[in-house]
Amino acid sequence: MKVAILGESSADEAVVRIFVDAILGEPTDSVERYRLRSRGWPAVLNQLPAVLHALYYQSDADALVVVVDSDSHPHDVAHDDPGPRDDSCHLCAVRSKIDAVRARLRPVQGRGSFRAAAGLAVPALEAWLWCGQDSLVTEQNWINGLWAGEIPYTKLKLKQWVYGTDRPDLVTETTRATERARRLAENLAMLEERFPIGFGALCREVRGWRGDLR
Amino acid sequence: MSQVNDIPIIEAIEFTNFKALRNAELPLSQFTLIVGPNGSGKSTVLQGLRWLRGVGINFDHALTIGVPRDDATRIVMTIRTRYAGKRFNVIRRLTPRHHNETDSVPRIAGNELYQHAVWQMLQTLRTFSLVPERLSQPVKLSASMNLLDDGLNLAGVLDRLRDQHPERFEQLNEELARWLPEFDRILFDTPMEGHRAIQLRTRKGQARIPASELSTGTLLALTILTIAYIPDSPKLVALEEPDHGLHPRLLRDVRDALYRLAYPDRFGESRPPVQVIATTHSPYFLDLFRDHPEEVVIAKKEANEATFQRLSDMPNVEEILEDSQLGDAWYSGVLGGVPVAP
Ligand SMILES: [Zn+2]
Repeated sequence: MKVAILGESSADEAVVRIFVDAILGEPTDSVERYRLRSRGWPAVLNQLPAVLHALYYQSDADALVVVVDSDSHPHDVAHDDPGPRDDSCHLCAVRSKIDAVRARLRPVQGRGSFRAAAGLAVPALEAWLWCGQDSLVTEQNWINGLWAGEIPYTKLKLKQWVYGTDRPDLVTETTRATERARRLAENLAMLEERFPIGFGALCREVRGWRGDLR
Repeated sequence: MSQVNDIPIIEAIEFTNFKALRNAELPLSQFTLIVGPNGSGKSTVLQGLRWLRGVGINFDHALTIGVPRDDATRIVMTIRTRYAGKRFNVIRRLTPRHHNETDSVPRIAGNELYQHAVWQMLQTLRTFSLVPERLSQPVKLSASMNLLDDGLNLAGVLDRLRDQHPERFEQLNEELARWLPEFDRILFDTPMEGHRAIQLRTRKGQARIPASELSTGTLLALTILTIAYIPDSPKLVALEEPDHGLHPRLLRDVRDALYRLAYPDRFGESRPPVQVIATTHSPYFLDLFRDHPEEVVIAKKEANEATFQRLSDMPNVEEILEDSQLGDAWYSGVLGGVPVAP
């Protein structure tokens, strides 16, 4: 399966690829034609229409996976209720944009189905990577803290934990992040249990593709 | 005491009557990125640092426009330093009578015991305004590993690095190959006796490309890496627009290289940290400092007078930036530091 990945950095994208492969249970191919690169929120949202259009019309990609950091805008299951989405939520904003673009795509002869899935790391991808190292690091703990006005850990703190510094260079960041991701990929159940909203959503969508794998 | 505290650091520089900096204070950190419109004093800061190092300035050219010139008029730069937990001011003054002053020793107020370290730091500070055409020049070999302000002796510095610190030269080659994957090695040519010129070898086909045929961006990337890998680095480095001419995707690597200078312990290096000051006009480069607003200084210019403000000192900055890229927010004008309407 050929899957394009769009995240907030190239290190994030390498991590998401490992998780997507683990969820699908088989390695995916990247879309070599486009060396996609985002530069953080909200650039990823602004780039999304161009990326989706190009992938659909000009590539043989089967799917696009988008994973972003929630920052202080986590998703709530109430957002899934019918009706207008809460676009201040990063996950809902990504989903809205994907839906809007897909609604406008015209049929192309010879083009198979095109899937898209979105995930949300609360508050940042490093929280997924630190999963299992500290039982306090869970989606719910962070969200509870946010509502209580006292977040239990910051994005910078997470970086210090995962990389040993909040200013990692790109090589260190990518190396450490993918090492952790490979270990976690062997225990997706834990990630899904501790990050049921943002990681769980990604798992459910990507698992749904399994049935129609070639 | 940690290593960082054992190295003198400039906490701030106050400017009086110096070009657009009629009355401005520049706050500095271990790493500082200054953004702002043209003429907002960014280059004047670098000129001030050169003045400190002994490069002369002309009183009449440097005096703020509109400030009356009489015998009592002074151009003053006060460098507020901290070293070993103590604070010292280094003051540089220029009077109309000494309007070409080059040789007076800056006055350092404070305990004499510490003056030497501070003075040494100020003597070794480097200010780079790299000139792309000069980076490719063949140069006469010399024993010095000090890169000139415009980068003219790049080939000579790299040649010394290869001979004296081969392991660092190898690391530099590896890093260069990662930044610019089309090349795999720095090579040298001897265009005439006692001279050196740089060549880069292409990964594919192993062709030797002379420096004169390399793009501006490639030469600048090589120079920034060289600055980051010179072993006896100065205590303070100021760089004018290190992003200039580079592909935006390389900017993260540039940031990493400058962070490597400023925070070597976090990169597994044991050498002393270098205080780094950089200027930029690039929103993409600025984006990379979103997590550290204390490292960003906005230069603002109003009615020909420039002032500086640390981004983290700006009221409500977290709310303003909440859902925006830092570079976009700056470009929009809400943070200041953009050209004013004519
Ligand atoms: Zn939502």
